[in-house]
Order: sequence, then structure tokens, then C-alpha cells
Amino acid sequence: MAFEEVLITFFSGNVLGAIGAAVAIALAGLSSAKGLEIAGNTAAGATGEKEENFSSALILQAMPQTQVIYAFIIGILIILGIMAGNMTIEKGFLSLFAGLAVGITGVSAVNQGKVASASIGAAAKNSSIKGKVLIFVVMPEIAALFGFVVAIMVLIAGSVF
Amino acid sequence: MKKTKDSAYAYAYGVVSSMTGKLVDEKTYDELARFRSVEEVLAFMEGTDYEHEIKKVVGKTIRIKDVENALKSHFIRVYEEIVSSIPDTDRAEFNKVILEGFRSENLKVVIRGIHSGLGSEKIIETLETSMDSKLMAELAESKDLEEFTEKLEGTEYHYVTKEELEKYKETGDLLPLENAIDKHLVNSWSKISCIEIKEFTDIRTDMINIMTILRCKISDIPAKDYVIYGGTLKEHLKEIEKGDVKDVLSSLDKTSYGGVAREAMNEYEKTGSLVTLEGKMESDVMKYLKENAMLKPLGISSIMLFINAKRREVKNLNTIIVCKHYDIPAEEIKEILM
Repeated sequence: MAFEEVLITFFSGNVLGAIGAAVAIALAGLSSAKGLEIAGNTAAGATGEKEENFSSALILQAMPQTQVIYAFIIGILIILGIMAGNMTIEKGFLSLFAGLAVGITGVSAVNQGKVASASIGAAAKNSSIKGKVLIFVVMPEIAALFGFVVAIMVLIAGSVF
Repeated sequence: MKKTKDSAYAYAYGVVSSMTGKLVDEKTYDELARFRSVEEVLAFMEGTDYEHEIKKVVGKTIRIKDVENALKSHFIRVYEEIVSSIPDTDRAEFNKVILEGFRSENLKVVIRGIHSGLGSEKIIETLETSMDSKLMAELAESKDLEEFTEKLEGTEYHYVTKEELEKYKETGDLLPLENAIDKHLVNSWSKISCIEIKEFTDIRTDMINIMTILRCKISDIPAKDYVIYGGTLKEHLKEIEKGDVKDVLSSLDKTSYGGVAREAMNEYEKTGSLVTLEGKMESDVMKYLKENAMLKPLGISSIMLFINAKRREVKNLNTIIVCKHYDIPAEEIKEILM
């Protein structure tokens, strides 16, 4: 196969779209897993020592999970576009950018995991601040949320799905 | 040097956070001080984390010694639980810092007690809670420091104290013996590879050096034989050890210990003594741990801070129980509490 052919095959809309979906879910998934690991360890320690900490620890620990949910939605939308059979190179590139947007902002899950972990600890020390610490954990979510909104808008603007 | 990952201390942080939430607060100390008897205090403690140990001493004639031992057992249980939750890779180093620190403090308390003829019972009362209270009790019963050194046979402190015993016999000054214990402690930290633990031991080394240099200056002894060249002040030690007490404090003023040095200088100028310096330096270490724990909650500082808070709680509860036993009024008890 000539280099030109390889290039054409590689840069087909479907391949670009698939890369976009894969990057989104891989980056956000890895980050969410790391964030959940950190927060989950603290939640386990806090709950093991005092069972009453379970409910607040569970809510706070679950927060870094949202990044992979955003990536999952974007990934599904891109795949729907591929399945519709009209993924042009332009749409493929737009899908790739959308995937990058949600994947890279999804890295915020790692830091969110650290904040969640510290917040679980703070709530375990003083149960009256359970609601307040939730606000701290939501803050790193905003970056991921912006990435998700931009990715959706890119996909809508390009009529990808 | 190895840096510990954030996730490594996440579980231990969860454990100590929960335990911190259960620590006795100031309001409860006030209430406990106002209780009418030891039995009332123990009944309250049965509803807390101390339940397991306190249950063993209530229901029969209450002996203060048993209650004190129950409190010590509680501290040891909590310590073991925390240590088991920290990463395997740091556990040995953590123990080396905390347990060796307790041991060295207690050895010095015993040495001072024997030297001043305090008697074993009084010495044991002043000992900090530690894992080797049996050995310490045996050591406290020594009639002199020669016997004390002999009883240390089989431990790593035997050799270091035996070497300095002659100097003590010649001068009657405890500094060589106490300094030998400090040096041994600092040497045991030399192979620490965890950055966070190393930072802590460096500060502890500074504290030992500052106290030693000032003690030498006050007693008019050359400090260079007793200084341990390490810690964050390593490069400045030669400068710091020059001159008299005031010169030492002025040199310290230019370091990160400036705040403590200025306070010490004020005290020295007013009273000619430095009795509160050790306490102030201890507060400085705690401040360092608090700041570190705030910046990086998922780290060793949070754990060390909790262990210190738990020790304070055990000491305070012990004080309250002993005071209640001797019918000391609530207001006086509150003043004694840490």
C-alpha cells in the first residue's frame, strides 16, 4: 500500500472519530480511576474506623466518577455519528477535537480525588461540615463540565450525530 | 530519597481523620474536670473509644495504677492500628522516628530521675507512654547510673551510654550521657529515605542541637563535642555554636528559628533562664506539622499530628483521673491540662 493510500485510510472520518472516542474515554477513564482510588482509600479508612462516615464518604468519593461519564457520553455520540455512515474527514477531525476536549479536561478527576479525599477526612473530623466540603469537591468538576459542554457543542455544530 | 505518592497515605488519612473526630474536645475536658469522682470519669470514658480498656478496670476496686495502664494500653492499641494503615514501605521508618523518639525521651527521663534520686515510682509516673514501659520500669529501679547502663545490656543503647558513663562519673554532668542518647537517635535516622519523614527528622535534629548548644553555653562547656552535624541548620552550626547564649540566639535569629530565638532572647534578658524554650520549640514542630498537614493532608504530617494529639489526650485524661483521686478542684485541674 502506497504511503498516500495509508494516509487516506488513516485520515478517514471514521478512523479520526474512533480515535476521538478512544482518547476521550481513555484519558477520562484513567483519571477517574486514579481519583476514585485516592478518595476511595480515604473513604474506606474513615468508614472502617467509624461507620457513620459511610454516607458522606460515599457521596464525596463518587465525585471523580463524573469525568468518565462525560467522556462516555461524548464517545457514544461520536460512535453514533460513525454508525450513521456520514463521517466525513471534517466531521472526523471535529470528533477528535471533541474527544480531546473532554478527555484532557477529564484529567481533573485526579485532583478532584485528592480534594475529595481531604474533604472526606475533614467531614470525618467534624460531621457538621459535610455539606460545606461538597462545594470544595465540586470545584474541580467545573473544568470537566466546561470540556463536556464544549465537546457537545463541537459535535452539534459539526452535525456529527 | 523517595517521594510518597498521595494515594499511599489516603487510607491512613481516613483512619486518623475519623479518630480525630473522636478526640476529647476542650468542652468535654471542662466537663470531666467538674465530675465528682474517678468512677464518674470512668463511666463517661466507657462510652468513648476507651471502652475496651476501661471495661477491664471498672467493676472492681479501682486502682489508679490500673487506670493509668489502661490509658497506656489504649494509646498503644491506637498507635498500632495507625501504623498498620500506613504504607509498608514507610512503616519501618515511621516507627524508627516515633518509637525511637519515645524511647530516647524516656531514657533521658530515667537518667535524670536516677541522677536526682527521684525514686522509681516517681520516675515511672513522669515517663511518656511508650511500647517498652517494662524495660523503662526496670531501668527506673536502678540505684545508680552504672546499674542503669548495665541493665541496658542487650539493647543498642548499652554501648553508647557505657562509653559516656566515665565522663559522667568525672564531672557529675548528665550532658554526655543524654547527648549520647540523642546522637544515637539522630544516627538511627540517617538512612531514612522518605522525604517527608526526613524533613521531620531534620527539624527534630535542629531542636536537639539548639537545646544542646544553649545548654553548653549556660554550663560553659565547649559545644562542638556535643553538636550533631545534621538537620536543616547543618551549614550554620559552626556559626551558631560561637560565643555566648546571646550570640547563639542572635545567630538563630537569621535562620527559620528566628521567631523562637527572639522569644527566647526576651525571656533570657528578663529572667536569665531559658526554661520555656523547649516547650516553644516543641510548639514550633507542631506548627510545622499543622502547616504541612494543611498543604498536603494525604501525607505523614497528618498522621504524626494525630499521634501527638492522642498522646496529649491520654496525658490529660490521666491528669484528670489522678486529680479526681486526690480531690483536686476543677479549676486547678483545668490549669494543669495541656
